[in-house]
Amino acid sequence: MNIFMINRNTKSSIIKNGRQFLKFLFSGSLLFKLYIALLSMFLLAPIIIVVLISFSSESYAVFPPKNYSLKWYINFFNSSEFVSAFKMSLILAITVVIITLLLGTLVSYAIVRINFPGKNIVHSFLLLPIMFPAIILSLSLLIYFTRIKIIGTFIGLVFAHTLLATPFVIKSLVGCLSTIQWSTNEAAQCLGANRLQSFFYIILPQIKFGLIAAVIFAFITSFDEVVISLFIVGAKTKTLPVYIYNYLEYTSDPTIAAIATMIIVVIGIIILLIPKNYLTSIASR
Amino acid sequence: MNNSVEENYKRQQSRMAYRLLSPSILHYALFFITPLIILFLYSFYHHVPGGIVETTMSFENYKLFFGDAFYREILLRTFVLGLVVTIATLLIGYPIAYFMSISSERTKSICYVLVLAPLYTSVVVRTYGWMIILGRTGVLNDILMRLGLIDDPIQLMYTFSGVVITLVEVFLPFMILSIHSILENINKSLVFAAQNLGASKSISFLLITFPLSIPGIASGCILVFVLSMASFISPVFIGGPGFRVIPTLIYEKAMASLNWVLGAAIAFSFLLIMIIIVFFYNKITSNERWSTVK
Repeated sequence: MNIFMINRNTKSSIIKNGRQFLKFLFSGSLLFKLYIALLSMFLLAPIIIVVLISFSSESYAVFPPKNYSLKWYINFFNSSEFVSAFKMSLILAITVVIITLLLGTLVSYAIVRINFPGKNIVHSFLLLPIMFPAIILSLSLLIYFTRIKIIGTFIGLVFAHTLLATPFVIKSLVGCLSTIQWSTNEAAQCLGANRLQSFFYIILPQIKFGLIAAVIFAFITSFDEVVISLFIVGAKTKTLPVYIYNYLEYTSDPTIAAIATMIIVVIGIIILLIPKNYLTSIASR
Repeated sequence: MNNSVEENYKRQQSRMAYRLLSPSILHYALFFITPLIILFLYSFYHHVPGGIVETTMSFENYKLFFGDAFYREILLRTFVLGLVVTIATLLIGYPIAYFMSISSERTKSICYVLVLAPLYTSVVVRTYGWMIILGRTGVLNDILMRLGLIDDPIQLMYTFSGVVITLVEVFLPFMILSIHSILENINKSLVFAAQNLGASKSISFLLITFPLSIPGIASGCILVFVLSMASFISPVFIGGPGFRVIPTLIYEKAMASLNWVLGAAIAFSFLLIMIIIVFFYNKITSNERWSTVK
């Protein structure tokens, strides 16, 4: 940048360059960069601090940590309750992914490919759980599950989480199914491919990223869900977020930070797999 | 003849569509609509201490909720919390959404990562992070004291402002994405035309870009407002046991005092209030005045 190359020969040029420097200082781009820096500090602060605290050797959360250790990670793996809650969340999320993918594919195909009366109403009804306040749903599920006696069971959690994850799968699949060139499918069938072949060779490659995004969103929805789970889990079906919630009510030692860091890393890796445009289309509900 | 064939085809198509939709519709009917109907019925039942309910119908739970000044204060606090968080996210988020829309592709994708990274981190994890930052011996107080800006630590944990700070961080991405998606689609030639005709950058922003971005502001605001009024985790941990909003009150009634019928009445009133707010809000913001120029 030429503004830093101050010509020392004449006084006026210094003044001129100084003015230019001031102009740069107050120009949009610098203010913008400063603003972005401050904002990203604000947005990322809790995440960064949790990650750093997880390597602390102190038994309470102080920042910055004086010494570093891995003892909270070891503590996590030594606690059978934590590990079983982790396994519980993982199995639950995988079950939810499989069910929502099956349900969501049928729905999305019908919405994109078939014209039927009441389509818009059905579509927005099926997306409703995204906007619905979780706290109200959780009390109603608590009462309902107690009455039909599936409170605290795995199957109850699956039903509840499937309800929350289905809209995300529908959103993502409707998005990608409506951009496909369906004529290529017909062409393949005209050329002698059967339905299965045309699906695997023609349709699937076109909706690959949408499917991956759907799987990931369904997984994250179930894996991170805490409010509804809090109301309907049983002693044997505690999910990881609920376990963290209960743990935080009494203590706040860095074991939580260690788990949180592992969750952040897992979800971070998963998110890097999704193309950017799918990420934003679903995030902006 | 031809007409009936077409009708037959249409009927066949609809039948096929409903067959494909039926598993999901059934699932929603059983685990979304039915629970809400039962919640509605429960809100009229009578509570007997010990967790039993009598199925005599009355308005006593609603009378108790709206008649008690204690509950009204909680309702008001929830409303104010939603309002403050919405205004703060709008003021902080609008500039970033605007700059994102005018900056280069590279900067834009960096911003996307920054905005989206927190969105996919569990709320419990982020709230835990804020507990470490906002505490009396926390990171924020530590920094401020070292800089000499304050002499004694400020109390942020267990206060209204602490909850606001946390919720602003949690919901800022929603606001930014809502506004940005509208700003991104504004016809840039309108801005160029205004500047060609002699408008300065700030004038063209005030007269062209800002009015056109109002739909994005409107959708972002209602989204953040509803989400922050219904938020539960951050008020529980940052606000502490003394800080009550409607969601924490519902949890308390349902899990601690086992008064499900009162909890149901509170939940249903809350839902109704939110539906009314959203309804009138949509009426006001879908006014033609805001959407004439496209």
